[in-house]
Amino acid sequence: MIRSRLASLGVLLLLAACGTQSNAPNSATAAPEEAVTITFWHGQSGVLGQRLQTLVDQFNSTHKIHVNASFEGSYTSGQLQQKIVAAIQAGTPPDLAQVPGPADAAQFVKANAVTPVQQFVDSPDGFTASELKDFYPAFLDDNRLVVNGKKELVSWPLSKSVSVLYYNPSLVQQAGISAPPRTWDEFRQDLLAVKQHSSAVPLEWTPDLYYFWAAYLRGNGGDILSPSLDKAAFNNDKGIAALQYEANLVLADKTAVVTKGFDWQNDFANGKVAYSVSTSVSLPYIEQAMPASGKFQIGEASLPAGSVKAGNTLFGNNLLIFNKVPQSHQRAAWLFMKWLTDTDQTVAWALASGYLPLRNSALKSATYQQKVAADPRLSVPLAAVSSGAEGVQASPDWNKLQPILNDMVVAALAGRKTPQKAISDASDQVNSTLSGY
Amino acid sequence: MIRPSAAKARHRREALEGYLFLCPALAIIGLFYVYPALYSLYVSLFRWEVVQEAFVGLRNYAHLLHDPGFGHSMLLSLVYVAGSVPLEIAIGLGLAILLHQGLRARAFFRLLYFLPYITSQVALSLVWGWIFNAQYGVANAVLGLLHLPPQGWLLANNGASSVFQVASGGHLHLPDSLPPSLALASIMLVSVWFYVGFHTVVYLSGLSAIPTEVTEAARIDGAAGFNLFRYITFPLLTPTTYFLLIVATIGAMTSFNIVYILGGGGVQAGCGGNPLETTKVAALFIFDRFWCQTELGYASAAAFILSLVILALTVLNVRTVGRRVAFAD
Amino acid sequence: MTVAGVLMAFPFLWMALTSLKSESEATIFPPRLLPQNWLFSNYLLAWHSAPFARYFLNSGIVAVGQTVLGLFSSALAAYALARMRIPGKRIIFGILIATLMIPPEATLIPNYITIQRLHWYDTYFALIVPFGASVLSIFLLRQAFLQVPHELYEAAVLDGCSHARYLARIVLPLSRSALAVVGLLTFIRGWNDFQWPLIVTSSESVRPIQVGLSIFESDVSTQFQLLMAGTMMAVVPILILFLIAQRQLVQGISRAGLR
Repeated sequence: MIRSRLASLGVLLLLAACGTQSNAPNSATAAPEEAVTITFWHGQSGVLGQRLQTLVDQFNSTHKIHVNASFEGSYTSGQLQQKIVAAIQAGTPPDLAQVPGPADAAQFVKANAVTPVQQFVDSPDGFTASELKDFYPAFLDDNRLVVNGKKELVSWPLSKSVSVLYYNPSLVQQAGISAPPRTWDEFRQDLLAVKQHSSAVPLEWTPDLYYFWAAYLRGNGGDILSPSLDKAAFNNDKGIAALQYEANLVLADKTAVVTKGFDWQNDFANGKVAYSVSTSVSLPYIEQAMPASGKFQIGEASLPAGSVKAGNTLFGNNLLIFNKVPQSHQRAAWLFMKWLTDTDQTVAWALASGYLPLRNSALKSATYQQKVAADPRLSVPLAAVSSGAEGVQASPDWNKLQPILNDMVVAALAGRKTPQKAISDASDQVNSTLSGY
Repeated sequence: MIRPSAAKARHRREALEGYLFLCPALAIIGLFYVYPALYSLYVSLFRWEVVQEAFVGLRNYAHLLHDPGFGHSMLLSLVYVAGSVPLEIAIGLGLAILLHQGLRARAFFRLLYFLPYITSQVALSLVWGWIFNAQYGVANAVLGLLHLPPQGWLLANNGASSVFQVASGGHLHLPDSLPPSLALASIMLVSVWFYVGFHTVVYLSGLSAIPTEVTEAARIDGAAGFNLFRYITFPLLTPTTYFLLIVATIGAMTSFNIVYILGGGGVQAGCGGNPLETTKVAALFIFDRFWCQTELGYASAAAFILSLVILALTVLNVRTVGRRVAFAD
Repeated sequence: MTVAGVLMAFPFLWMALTSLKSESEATIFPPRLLPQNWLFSNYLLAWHSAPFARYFLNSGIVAVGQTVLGLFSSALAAYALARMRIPGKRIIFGILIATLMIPPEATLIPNYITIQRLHWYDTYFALIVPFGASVLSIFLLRQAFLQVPHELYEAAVLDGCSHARYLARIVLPLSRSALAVVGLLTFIRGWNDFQWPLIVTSSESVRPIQVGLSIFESDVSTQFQLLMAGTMMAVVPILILFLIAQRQLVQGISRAGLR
């Protein structure tokens, strides 16, 4: 098993070495695997955790490297970060860990606790440029940060998803809408139509995350931070328009209802809501929440597009290697990460978790194609990825900015501040936070 | 002279024995409470995000005093304490007295009141989140039965005072921005519900320590009912009350779990639970700065200031209530 | 009484009923009180979702360990502070009270570092020892010990009794009620703790129930009915303990009367 893997790796390297790619790995062939035991901290609980463990077990049974994977707290509520930060303080970080996104990675990079994976990607254990192209560029970009003046890969993608528009086909049809909205203006009209034709709630979601606002903003060519990541860039027409749009839905049109946490899922599953916006991963959970008598096929569509593109934000999580661990462990961690995102595994993880496959070859694989044929909805999020999804801007201070942006949205939607005021206040706060001490 | 030195030797032996007795507890408390407090103080003097950076002396503290978010969260914590602690203690005392009087099925009721305290706060907080759900919660259903308008409860930033306004038919008018908000008030209610059982049990223990001869003697003298309570029972319970007041105040100031789950947007809202503006109590502020924004120096300073505020409150308790306590020694 | 009882019990009742519902029933609107089908199978499902038997054992070991260690250290310290002449008692008092005011957030990282340095990470020691002494317990017990009349001690001294003997033979038996209360409260705290065990453990072999229950929550949804079932299961041992301890409380009451 191991031999055939090394053999195929060798063949690939040979082919690569013969090519004229500029960042071909060193002509030296990859060294054989060492038998080390590494610790992998992740934040997947529940069913996803079990499925991740299945993959880990598969790796362990086919490799000399042994991975000890453990659930260390949810990564969405800060528990996993808590452990990682504490472990860094104690000087005992795990070998690799799951992190929510580039912002958290940026924090740890700034704290000099991370070994960027770029060095492994460029090594004999890594990829050639053409191999790298197999990965969706947006997913890799999401893991690139500027380190010592150079933009390089610091973390490696594992699970990726995007926002999608969910809809209740019968409610939508009832309102005379024949196709999902392609632009934001169309969406607004559609919501009004639903309100006219039924008693259902046209849009119900938890918008206290700024993603909805960001999708509109980016779709119209705006952005949250300046490219140098040191100033707010949304205190302008684009930013205000994006927030005004949301506020209009909630306050003026009264076609949108704000909920807490996952509450919208329950209402949607009970057929009371026409549209909702959430991550593509939510689909099976909404389906699970449907009552036996009221099951329906949930519609899934891309978010509406702005004038430039259909803006969207990447969610999910990435993997990081810590640098206070022995070199052999770091390399083993990389080999594990690489295996985990190999075509077969990324297909398996995508199907098991609802996250997206990370590479084209995975999309084209027979298994995944079969699934797509059976359920065309699976292709919607991937289309969004190709057409304009980006990760959050990787400022190490991002975690400090997020609450400011959330508060901005909440204040505007509650009518406490006009969008102009909310935007300008938030912009000031962001700038003062970024300028630091 | 022999006597004084013998006494001194005995005193020294007693002191040594005393220290020996204190050793296990002091060792653990020293290592896991005192040392961390000092370490935290050390951290607060640095610019310390994920790793230690420059020494900044009291700059973190200066920033905190100018941070409106921090001031606001401290105010919310004080409101939280003022609203929930007296209520918890009063209800706890009432229930303890009723139980102590030997009702039928006393054991059953004792268990019932204690149930919230012994069950996982996470699961029960989720249930309360349900009850207070604006769309399909029992709370709004009950309001509907009483022909009152549904409230936003945990999503309602409007003042709890607005509820009084509604209940009084619009006659009572209080400013809407007066804390607590309805959201915070709902959380305080849940907090009381959780901890009443604890107070009941401790009061029961205190009540059982009152020698029956005392109450019997009082009864023979003609005291009964409320007078018995006011002149005999309550004064004898003042050490317990005093103790509970201090403990509950400290607990409420540092209360985290319940507010985290109920005050926020839930898991989907991201790190720190993303609480509403009006439910961002001090504990949530500190959690956010520690783990979400990862500013360990700043957060440690905030924690230290919180400790000082708790100290001030405790001193207040000692000075006001403490004077009236009838200590056994 | 009944009104108060109903108010106290209602959420608990809801939790119990939800544990018997199907997934969609658990979140349906408008909410129905009773499940359509009483799915006792939820409990089986919950039990098999994770090594709950192990989690129970772990929770038990940790809670019992904390209680035993806690009662031991707190009783000794409480007695010393109540009855023994110790120079610097006031200072010690002051330090103890001061530690009460430290917010838990401040102690998390230093304690984590200490645990790592002691090589206690992912062991029962890390879960038990840090909570093996509690200022609250010390104060509660001290109050109780002070109720034991000093004349008894003076009589014991005349009989040549040492402090230790006096404590063990006379004070402790007379303070059963307080000991029961402190023991119960310590056990409950140890049984229900979530944050600390999450931080200092990684492997299933040491994890307690509360951390194990998080298996029913994921980053995209929560399986309420299973979570409620799991929580109900976690409450049972404490209920039993409480029922047993209640008898101690009652005995304590009657003892006070007999004196």
